[in-house]
Amino acid sequence: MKRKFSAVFALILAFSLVMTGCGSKGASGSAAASGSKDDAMKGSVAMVMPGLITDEAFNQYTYDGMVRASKELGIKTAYREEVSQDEQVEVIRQFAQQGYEIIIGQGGQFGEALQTVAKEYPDKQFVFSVATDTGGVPNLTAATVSYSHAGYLGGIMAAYTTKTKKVAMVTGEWYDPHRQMEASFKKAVASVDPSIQVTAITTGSWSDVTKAREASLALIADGYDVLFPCLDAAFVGVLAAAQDSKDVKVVGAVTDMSKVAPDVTVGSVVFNWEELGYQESAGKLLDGKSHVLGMAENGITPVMSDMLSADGKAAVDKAVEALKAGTVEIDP
Amino acid sequence: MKSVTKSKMIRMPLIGDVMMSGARTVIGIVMGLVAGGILIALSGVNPFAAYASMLRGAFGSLPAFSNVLVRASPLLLGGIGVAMGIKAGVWNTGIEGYMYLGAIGAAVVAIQPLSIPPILHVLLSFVVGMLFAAVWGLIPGYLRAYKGVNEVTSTIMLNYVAIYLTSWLVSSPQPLAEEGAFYPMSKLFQESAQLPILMRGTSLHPGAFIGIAICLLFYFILNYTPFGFRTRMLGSNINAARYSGVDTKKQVVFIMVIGAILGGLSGAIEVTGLKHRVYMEFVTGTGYQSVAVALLAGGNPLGVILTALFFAALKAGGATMSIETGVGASMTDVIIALCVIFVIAVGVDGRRRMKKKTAKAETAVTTEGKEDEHVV
Amino acid sequence: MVENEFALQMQDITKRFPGVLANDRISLDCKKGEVMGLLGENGAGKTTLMNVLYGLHQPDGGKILIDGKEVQITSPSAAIHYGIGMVHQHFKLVDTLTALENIVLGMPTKKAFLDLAPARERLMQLSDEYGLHVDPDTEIWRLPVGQQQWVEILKSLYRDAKILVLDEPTAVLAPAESDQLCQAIHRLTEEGRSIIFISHKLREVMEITDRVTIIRDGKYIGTIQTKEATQLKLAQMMVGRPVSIVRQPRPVIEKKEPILVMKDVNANDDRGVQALKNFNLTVNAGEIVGVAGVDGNGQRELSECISGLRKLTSGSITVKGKQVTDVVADPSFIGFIPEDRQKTGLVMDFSVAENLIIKDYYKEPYAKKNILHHPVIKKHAKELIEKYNIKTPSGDVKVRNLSGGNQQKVIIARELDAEPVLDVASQPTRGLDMGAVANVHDILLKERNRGAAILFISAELQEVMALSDRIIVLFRGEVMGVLDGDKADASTIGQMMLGQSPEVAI
Repeated sequence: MKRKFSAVFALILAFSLVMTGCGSKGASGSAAASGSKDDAMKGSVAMVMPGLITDEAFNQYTYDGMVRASKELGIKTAYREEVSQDEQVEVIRQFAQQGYEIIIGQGGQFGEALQTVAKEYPDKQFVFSVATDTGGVPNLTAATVSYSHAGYLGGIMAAYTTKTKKVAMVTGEWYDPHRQMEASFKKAVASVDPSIQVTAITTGSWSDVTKAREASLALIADGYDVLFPCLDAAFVGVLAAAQDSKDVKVVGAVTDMSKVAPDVTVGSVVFNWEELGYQESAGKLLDGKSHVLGMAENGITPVMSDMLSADGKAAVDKAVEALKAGTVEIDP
Repeated sequence: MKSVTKSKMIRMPLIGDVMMSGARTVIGIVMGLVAGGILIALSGVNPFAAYASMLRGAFGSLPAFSNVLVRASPLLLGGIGVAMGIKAGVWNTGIEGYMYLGAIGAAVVAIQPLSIPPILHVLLSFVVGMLFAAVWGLIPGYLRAYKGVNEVTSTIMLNYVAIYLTSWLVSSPQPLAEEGAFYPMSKLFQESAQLPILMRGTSLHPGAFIGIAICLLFYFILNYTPFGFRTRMLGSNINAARYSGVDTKKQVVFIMVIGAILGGLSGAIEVTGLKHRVYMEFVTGTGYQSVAVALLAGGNPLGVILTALFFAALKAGGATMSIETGVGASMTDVIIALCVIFVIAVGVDGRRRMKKKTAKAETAVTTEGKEDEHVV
Repeated sequence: MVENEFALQMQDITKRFPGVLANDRISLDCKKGEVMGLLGENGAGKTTLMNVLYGLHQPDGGKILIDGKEVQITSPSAAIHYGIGMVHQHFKLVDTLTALENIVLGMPTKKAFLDLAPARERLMQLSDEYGLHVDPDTEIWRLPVGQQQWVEILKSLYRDAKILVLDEPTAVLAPAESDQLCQAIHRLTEEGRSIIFISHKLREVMEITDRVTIIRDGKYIGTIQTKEATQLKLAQMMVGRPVSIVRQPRPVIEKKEPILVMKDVNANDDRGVQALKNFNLTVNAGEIVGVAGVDGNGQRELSECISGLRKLTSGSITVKGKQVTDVVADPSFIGFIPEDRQKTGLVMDFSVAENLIIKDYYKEPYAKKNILHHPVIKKHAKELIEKYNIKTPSGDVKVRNLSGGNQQKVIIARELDAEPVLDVASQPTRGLDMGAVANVHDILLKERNRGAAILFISAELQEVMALSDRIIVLFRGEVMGVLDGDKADASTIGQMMLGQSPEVAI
């Protein structure tokens, strides 16, 4: 019994320590100017995030966007990172109580919580970020970048790169945006050459580099020579797999992957998270509708290297124009 | 036997021990808070301002206190589930997993448009949630009782299974999942299956009150029913329990399943009360915090009420503290962990001292009654 | 320099534990080539004294001389350095290692890799020399207990122990093994090694030792030449007064109704080795049947089979015509005083009142409609505390805080108060002081006179002879013989306990 106790004791300690996570700063530094409260709070923004603002992914970039808006417009901002699901409502409500006029929930898991608090505070504006669902609440706006546009442009680039006529999309798990991305990716590839074989797989993890690498190697062994990764940190594994194989190219998504692996990256469709965070914070989207920032709204930026053929570049430019004009039949 | 020893026969008074154990807990908590204060100061924030903000966030107003109650709900139910295990000598560390299963079970019913009164719809959701969790708890219970598999290992492994199972079930195109959602989540629960909000402008649902009632119920069960007697006997001396005719294996399974049911109820309340959907990874660590709650309470159901409220106050106050003063959000978890470590450390030391005292008293009376080596 | 006659001298050793004076100025010496007995009841301080010698405890007073030179023994490794070898009552072996590995374990080595070949050779040589044969490559857990002891002894000899301490070595041995041990001891002393032989069994001490030191209650009583001692004298020195266990007169119970009937019972012990072999026994109403035998010859399994805690592999057990196999004993029918009070018979953290109902807690009147009735339970406790003279201020006190004798009274009160038809008492006096022993004997006799059938299992031959109407002797799970309690004599029983089958069985 005693030994057992100490074993469990050690276990609890371990868990407690794991629960603590890594040290991080919580809320914004801009001190509360309590003097002229109404003035100070005019246009003020609070952002809540599921992850850390140093994650080199959408948590960090959307936060950067808010910082830019704060600098340009002189508005007061606040944030709280690593908000767990059971405290979402509580934290959002507290920001509303403190008088922040725009409150942004960063990530699809904030939907219910934003709706709940938005109904309680009809005079405040709420933004459901990286989502499209407003739940019909008039002071809740949804905003995201266009995964469809990203998939479509990625598809054009991939189709003009493949030699084996086999291209593959690699993602972590199937969330709906990634389904949309897959659909438009396939559509774009087919629009270039219907005989190209397209597949899309998940690795089960957004951040596991090894899993991504092994999945990529399996695809490469199967004859796929262009990979289209849409992952968080795990995309490095896809690049490594391409680098270790002959004649395999990568079309990047989310970030500009030529910065990491210029030798295999023919181009990337960059998600302008920073722009999204900026537009949300600057109060440009607050109309209770759902906004998808595509090509026209500067939500997606394609970047191409010299490895992409001239034909390919021309095709991408053409697709960009079509997307801006809205003449491509895909989801927004 | 010498007459001197007879006067020493009884170690008096027992109330003193209780006071001592309470005092130890308080001392440990104070030490944890002081250590946390030092860390806050190191991060460049005035610790007194931070703790004042924490206090305000937990007890400053009725709505603030409602946050404490909301956070206490899963800790109370999970804590009592673990505490029952402690009383029976098993470590039921699977609360996290049971919460997921309970939430899934509840969702299965709660998303259906049933034409029954809301109270029935909610209760039915609870029942199915508890049922799912009970089946889940049967696995480690059976493995422990009949196959000798360590329950700590099996429950923690099953926690992972439960988390991933839930993620899968709430991702489209599974029937539970919301279509077109930007994050894996179940469909929205029917309004009739949502717990009522008890105070406008807060999230206060009845979960904490249900939790407190169940803690009291289990206090009664442990001390005033044959089932509780059996459970305590099992935890105190399994050989004696067997010798008294208790089917110890069955009892172990019972206790594990009861813990699972309570964990399942905890998860069901969390989803029907708070967000009315099951999101992927909607619990992160609450199940393990329940273990800490039960441990700090020494397995005592009444103690669980106190420690669960304490943990909840720290968490709710901590959230306000980080919003108001800019202390890192994870500082709350650091402070909780520090409190747990100090309480246990002080407790272990005290226990050792107490054991020595007991041994002293015992050897004084039973020198002849014991084998030589026991005296040592 | 003149060689010292004494291998070991311990002078005025005092060892205090919080609240207890475990050793009060005890002296013990041992000449070279001598077997020194250390005799005392359980709890007298024998093991403490030996732990001081082995460096596990530091004495608060007194000194230790090895070969005439005063030494400080600060740790077991120091003890080994001084040539002291210890065979503990509970072996300190690693179960999953082989005998050879256990013996080498902890030996200093200069090589980076373990080379067992020379060790094996040395071990074989040692085991041949002393007749303690052990397969060096068998894991400890596979070895019979006796051979585990050989490993312990060989381990000490491998380290060239000059003084070997054997703590209750025969408790786990079969008679043939005891003989082997005796021969080994003989050979060791011939070589000039010294043996300290700890026991509380008089007969063994008489047979094996050259001199005996007796301690009692942590105090030194005396040292005498074994040749000049008698068992009775030793017993008196050990218990401090004339031994009072005498056969008490008892009324003759005429009615001979068979209560416990065991037919061809076979059962295994915890390790799956057969512990009871075709066991047949009948105990009648108003009769005490004593079971004599060396510990570990099936007594435990016998009591557990009757009380339903152990499954039979074959055979049947009936009590008053009712099958009791696999049914846990109900004290209104069978009272069972288990062998291990604290591990089995009591829940130490429960109160006296709770311990008095651990078999009946779910029955009326203690529980009604699944609710415990604490007032009834307390009243019940109060009655039994008075009736059985349990010394405790109230029923709310934890059993842990009672003395051994009073703990036993709690069990007896619980098991016998409902006047069961059969009492199974397994080692009910073990570890109790004389007063408490007498109390248990009185109660069992009263039970007999009430008309209960009583199976009385004890390792103490004296009390079996004093109490029993009939005596059966258990040897390796079989009945070696049945004797009339009035006519039985110790030497006959003693022979039977060692597996010799005399022709006097009745």
